[in-house]
Amino acid sequence: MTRTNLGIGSKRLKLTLGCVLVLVFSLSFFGFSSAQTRPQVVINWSTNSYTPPGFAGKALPSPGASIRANLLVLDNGIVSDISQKEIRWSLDGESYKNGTGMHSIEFTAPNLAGEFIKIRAQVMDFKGNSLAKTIEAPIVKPQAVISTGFSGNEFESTNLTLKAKAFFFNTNNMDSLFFNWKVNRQEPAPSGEPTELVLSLPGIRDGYKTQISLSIENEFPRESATAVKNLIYRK
Amino acid sequence: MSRLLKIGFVSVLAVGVLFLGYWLSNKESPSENIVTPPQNSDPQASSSGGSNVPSESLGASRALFEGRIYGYFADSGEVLAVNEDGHVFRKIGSEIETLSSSSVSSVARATFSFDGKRILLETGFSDSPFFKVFNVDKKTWKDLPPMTFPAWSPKTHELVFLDKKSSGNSLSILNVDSPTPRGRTVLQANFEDINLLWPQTNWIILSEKGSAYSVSSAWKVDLQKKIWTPIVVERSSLDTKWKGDGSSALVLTGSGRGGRLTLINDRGEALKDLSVLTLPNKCAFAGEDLVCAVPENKKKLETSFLPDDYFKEDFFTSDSFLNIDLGSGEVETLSSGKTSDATNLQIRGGEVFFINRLDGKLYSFKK
Repeated sequence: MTRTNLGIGSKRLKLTLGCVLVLVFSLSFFGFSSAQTRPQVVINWSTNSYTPPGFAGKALPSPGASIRANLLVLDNGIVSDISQKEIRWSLDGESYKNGTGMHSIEFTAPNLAGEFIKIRAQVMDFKGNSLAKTIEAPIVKPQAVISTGFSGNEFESTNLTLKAKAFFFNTNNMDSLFFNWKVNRQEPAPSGEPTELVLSLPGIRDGYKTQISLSIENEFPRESATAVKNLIYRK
Repeated sequence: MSRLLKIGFVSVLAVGVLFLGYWLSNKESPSENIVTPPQNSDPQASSSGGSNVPSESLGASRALFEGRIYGYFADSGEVLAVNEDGHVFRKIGSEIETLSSSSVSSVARATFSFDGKRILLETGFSDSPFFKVFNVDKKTWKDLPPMTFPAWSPKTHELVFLDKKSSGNSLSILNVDSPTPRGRTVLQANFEDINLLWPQTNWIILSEKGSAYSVSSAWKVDLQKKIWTPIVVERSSLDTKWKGDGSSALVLTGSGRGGRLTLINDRGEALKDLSVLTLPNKCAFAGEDLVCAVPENKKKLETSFLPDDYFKEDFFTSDSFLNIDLGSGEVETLSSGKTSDATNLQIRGGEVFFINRLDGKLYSFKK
């Protein structure tokens, strides 16, 4: 009797464990997406900070940049009409704006480079419930990049053209940016195009090292970024 | 009593295992240490040296046109390309014909309709782009109304794009062949910074632009039923390359520096983790195979913020071309030219096409 009961228990145990494992496997397998049962609140954001034409990445806000955050609610995969819903927005835990159908807000990135700002939206009384979502947007410093056009630090040509790339400055006008190059801490002869450094290094030997520095400054608002690359000539 | 104990034990075990499963499926949450902006001083990269203006042969690869190419279309022995001045060229065999020589400044990119008969040219800055379309048969340009993030239809000369309005953004469709092209709203999509892809007539893929510094999601959107199905949910470093028909995609995700590549299907189910690390746009689907340009300096990718640093041109790569059998996982080296940083890969008629970021030229080689 006991043996029979144990047998049945053991079968149930195996069955239960089997079901649990199938469930666990499914959860791991479907790691990239998630089934939607509850309404899904989506907040997305963008910024107006500067990126060069053709940049395929995401523009990130630096202090002073304008950030626009948008809200949408997906209910069973359908975009819900929230035009009559009260929406409450908060930034870093402090109430920012409330309003009926307020699907978007715009605000200035705080002076917190290197940190995140928390953006929260709450949709009041959505089918009797309150829906809320919090996301984080990074605040970064403006960045300068020396685009070498070759892999690694080693170059093979004695004639080089290096390009300056400015990212995340508070401007949409390249003319407000000033580019200062230095080669081995010396100012090179101007090449005509401030975003380019043209170097002619005849007679250099294998292993010749050179340090390239770039500083990009914005006149208004006052902000700057620097980049340094140490390059080695290989014949 | 013992039965109750067993039930209790099984319940605790089930909850524990469920929690473990949930944790495993969500463990790639955004890292807290990724706020540190990347250092621009180049770390001890030790890859083979390239040339600032490469002039030597890239192994078996050959440059198809002179100058930097911003978009191309290859099919049936014919290659169309747009250069940095917006000039349009056609190459058949060894003959190159200039289809348009009217110059345009600040070219950002050029994309081609499904049949290569229309070319969409984007110029200007990403927050205020301008678009014009080129008719390859008539050799004429036409300005298009303001739009953002347009993507070509898989079967017509239509574009789907994000229409930005103060009342809320939406997805609209526009036929470039119309005498006065005008968008018609398809559905509400209150998004800002996205990539669109239109692989099948009835549905599109909408992805938030990815960064190592923030999380992004992607949805499959049914244009008729207006149903959104999540494919990727809140992952950092998101970057994707979809198979032409949208049936599967190569997805880059990460948490901080580096990342990993996973093959997923159109429901977002993970099919396979890839053992190599590269950027999705350095790969192309070829039937059951995947051809990828894989940087030889693996450490550089693992220590970089992806895809941000690569897109910013903070570093360039030196690639080997690998053929990866997606069924068996077998990897075969196709070419190790070492002087190419290949991007925008396409495979047509047994040939691998790519744009080399080191000199901006379009190359091809037999697979």
